[in-house]
Amino acid sequence: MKCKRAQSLFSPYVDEALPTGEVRELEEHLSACEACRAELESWKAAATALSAVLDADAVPRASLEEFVAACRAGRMEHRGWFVSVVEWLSAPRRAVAATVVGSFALTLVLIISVWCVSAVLPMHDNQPQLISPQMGSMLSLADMDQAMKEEWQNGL
Amino acid sequence: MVPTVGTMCMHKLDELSDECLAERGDQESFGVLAVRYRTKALRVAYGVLHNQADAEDAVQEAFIRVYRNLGRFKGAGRFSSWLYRVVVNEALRALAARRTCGELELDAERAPVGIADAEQVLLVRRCLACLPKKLRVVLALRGVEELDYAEIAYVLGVPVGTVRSRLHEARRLFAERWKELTRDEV
Repeated sequence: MKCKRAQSLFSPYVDEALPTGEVRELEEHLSACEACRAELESWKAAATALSAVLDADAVPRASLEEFVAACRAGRMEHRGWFVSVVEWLSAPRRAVAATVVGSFALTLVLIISVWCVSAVLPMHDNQPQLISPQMGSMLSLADMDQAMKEEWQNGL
Repeated sequence: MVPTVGTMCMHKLDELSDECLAERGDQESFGVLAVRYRTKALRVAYGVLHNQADAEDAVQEAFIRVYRNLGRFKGAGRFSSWLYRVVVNEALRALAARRTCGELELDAERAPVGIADAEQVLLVRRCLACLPKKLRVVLALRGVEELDYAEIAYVLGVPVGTVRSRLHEARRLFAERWKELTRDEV
């Protein structure tokens, strides 16, 4: 085995992912080649140092309780209102309660709407009425139409 | 111990597999999964970002994302692979955002805490900072013990052969840089 080939096997060798035959070949080469042995040692030293840094640096600062609470809060924030409502309604008792409250609210809205319409627009007959600027009295649309025709004919 | 869970209940949940907990999808199950994977996920995110605060943010975002979708996990594949995939995506997103904002702030010069050989730690950080993003990711994932080549391939969405070659290249560059810096130090 040549050095280039041997060094291409270092990574799977370190991971113990090399087939047995290749392991034997590589180890034979390493026992005879000092340069490759030194190269592999530097790989191992770097890997050990890297692992030590990850162990030392990648330590959570917040407690687990804080972390879980933050995730829970984040989850609630990210959920859309529709999902929240659907989830809330998924419990049977809540669904019944929501149906009753919804029906009551809808009825109330309908009653108020009818009351508003009847209060704001009093209707004395079936035809809509307008106030004639000239006559200052209530005219129906038919009367207005007739008056406009007469004005037009007089104008001619 | 997760605050919202009673001790007896936790003991029972502790015995369940990751996949079972994920399928349960409730708060208690999430708490157990957080106990199991929070630190490992942080190692992966830190391996990509090399900044403690950013790594913690990325891990939290990843766990929130996973928490939201726990109910949809139907046991297709390993939970850990799914989680690491989300963590890597969040870390890469954070990295892209940081670069967009022009705030490439590595922890390379931050003094290490609680380690005897502080200089060595700073050297390692410098070596990591020199690696391209793709290689840092694969090195970080391999740093998490359980991940074999196939799982890393799943997490990154690349063939196993690509993982093998990237890992080799990452280690080669890292060792090369390591030798240069240690020689300079001497």
